[in-house]
Amino acid sequence: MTDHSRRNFLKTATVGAAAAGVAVVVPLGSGSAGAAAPSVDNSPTHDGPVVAWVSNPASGEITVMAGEHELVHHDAKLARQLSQLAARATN
Amino acid sequence: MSSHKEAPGISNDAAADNTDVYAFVSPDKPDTVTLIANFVPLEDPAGGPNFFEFGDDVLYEIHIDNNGDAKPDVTYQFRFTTTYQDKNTFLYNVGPIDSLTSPNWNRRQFVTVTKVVGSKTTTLGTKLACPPCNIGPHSTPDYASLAAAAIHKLSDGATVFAGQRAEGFYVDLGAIFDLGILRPFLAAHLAKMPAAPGVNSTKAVNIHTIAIQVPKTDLTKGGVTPSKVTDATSTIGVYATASRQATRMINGDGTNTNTGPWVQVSRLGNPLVNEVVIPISQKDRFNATDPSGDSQFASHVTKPELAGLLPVLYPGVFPKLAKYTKPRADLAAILLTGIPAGVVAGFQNFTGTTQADMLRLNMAVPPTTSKPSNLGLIGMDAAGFPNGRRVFDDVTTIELRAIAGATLPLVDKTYKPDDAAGAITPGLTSSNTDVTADNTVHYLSTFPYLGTPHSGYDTPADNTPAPDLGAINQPPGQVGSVPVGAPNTGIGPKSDGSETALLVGAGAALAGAALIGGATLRNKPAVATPSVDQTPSN
Repeated sequence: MTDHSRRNFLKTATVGAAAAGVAVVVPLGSGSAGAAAPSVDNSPTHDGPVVAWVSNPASGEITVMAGEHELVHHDAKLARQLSQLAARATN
Repeated sequence: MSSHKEAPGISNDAAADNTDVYAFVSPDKPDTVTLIANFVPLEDPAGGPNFFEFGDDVLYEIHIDNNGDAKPDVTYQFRFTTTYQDKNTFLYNVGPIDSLTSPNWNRRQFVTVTKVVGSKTTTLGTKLACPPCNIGPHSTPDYASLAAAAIHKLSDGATVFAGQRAEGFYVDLGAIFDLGILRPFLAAHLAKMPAAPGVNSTKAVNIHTIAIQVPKTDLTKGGVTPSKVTDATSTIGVYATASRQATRMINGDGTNTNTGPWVQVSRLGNPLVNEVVIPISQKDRFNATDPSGDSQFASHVTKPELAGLLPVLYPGVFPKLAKYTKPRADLAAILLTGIPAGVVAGFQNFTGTTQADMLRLNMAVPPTTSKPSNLGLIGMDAAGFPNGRRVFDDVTTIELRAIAGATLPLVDKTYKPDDAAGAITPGLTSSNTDVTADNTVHYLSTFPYLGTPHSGYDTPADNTPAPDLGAINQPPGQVGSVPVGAPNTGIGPKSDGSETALLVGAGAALAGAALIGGATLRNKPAVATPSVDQTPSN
């Protein structure tokens, strides 16, 4: 996966999370964030459905899937934000 | 079963459930190899109105390893798309389907075939029509013609068919899963019941088949012609997989959205490995694992649970097997590495030391065109399982006998098999040259070899061949229903000398039960010199 496409996925996962067709799956768990920093920029977005899978929010690891592809991104802050959203969803 | 519903996970996912894999030198086109992968187990032919089909959301693949690392060197991919003619009817068809373009046929499926060699991907055919299911004489009055029209030539010269077929694998499910019963030997079982003939549980069910026939040279390393049995390049490893995308969102409106990379959920090489060798807690993981990782499962092959159960279930019948404690090198060779040179005279299908569950086919072994043995290599016929697998090979009997110790002397000269090891059978064939076991009268002599599916109207439980059986690829009016090598439906010659019980009727079955007591069975090694029409070169 190129850096360019990684940025595409990341931007979609963060900025486009509220857009139609975006599904975020976050298992419940610790919300403590790691040290990795997000790298969202102004690169193009992915137009189709996106799935972000956070198997362990504490790890900061986010698997972003679109079409038949995926990338694994490390972003402690984003993982924490998603886990916070998950907590809201369960309340 | 070979691999029908063999693991907890895949048993809930019929469209992706790989049930059998076959690989053999085409008997009528010996410069080609036919590769078959079956899916959707135990189709009740009457199962409408939404009849059986491949999954549009499943990636089907047949893989070929030609350098012994158990990783694909050539892969054929198959993707399906389904369309409607009329969204406003509940019917599969609204009148007779007399062609693959009939306006009466509502729900249709098409296959796209792609070949992957290294990093190169080539589309060989796009949206090729599949046949409908065989519904009945009013809906599919000339089924064989529909099936014949669904045989397509691909852009690289290969031939493909994807659609419904009669199940070719025969097995007595009801008995074998009822505490390991082999009906002909029930008198020797713990149950102590009268012996009985075997019952073919799959005689009236259908399957969905992906079959592709390709030149041998498309599969070998370097494109060489496999001409010598002893050449390493003559042997290929074959396995099939089904994969689904990593996530499925159920949208709440009757649709799903699949996203993510393809994840393997089913795979199959040798018959019955995941079915009866891998422990239940590991079966789904086995399905998700590539064959190159199979060393982690090797202990289950070399210490098979079933080998320990046979002496318990059949007290006193397998005393030598019960005492054997060493790892089963014979089973490792048959199922994980191929058989090295020097074990069976004039034959080898060894792919190296990498342990992997793949069918291994030495393509330099010519097809047996006269009286093929359904016992394959242990029936002195080197063109059959475990040298690849033909549609009529009695893989259940072959593997049962192997596990019972019949093949152990090949690698351990000190071991003398129990008398029963060379005789046990589910009792579905009359002899080792009987290639018409119960439902197998449906076999075809030409591609795709598996026969016209049972029609919904005529089933359940009707094993009568469809009236147009054999018409596929045959001139009109000519019926050709059996594989090359005419069947022997009676008491046939026993070239290996190990078949003594002919288990056709109850009387014969009772005799077989008596024989298992050890009085009259000959105790010959299961494999001596098979009929390879070619001597090895040194």
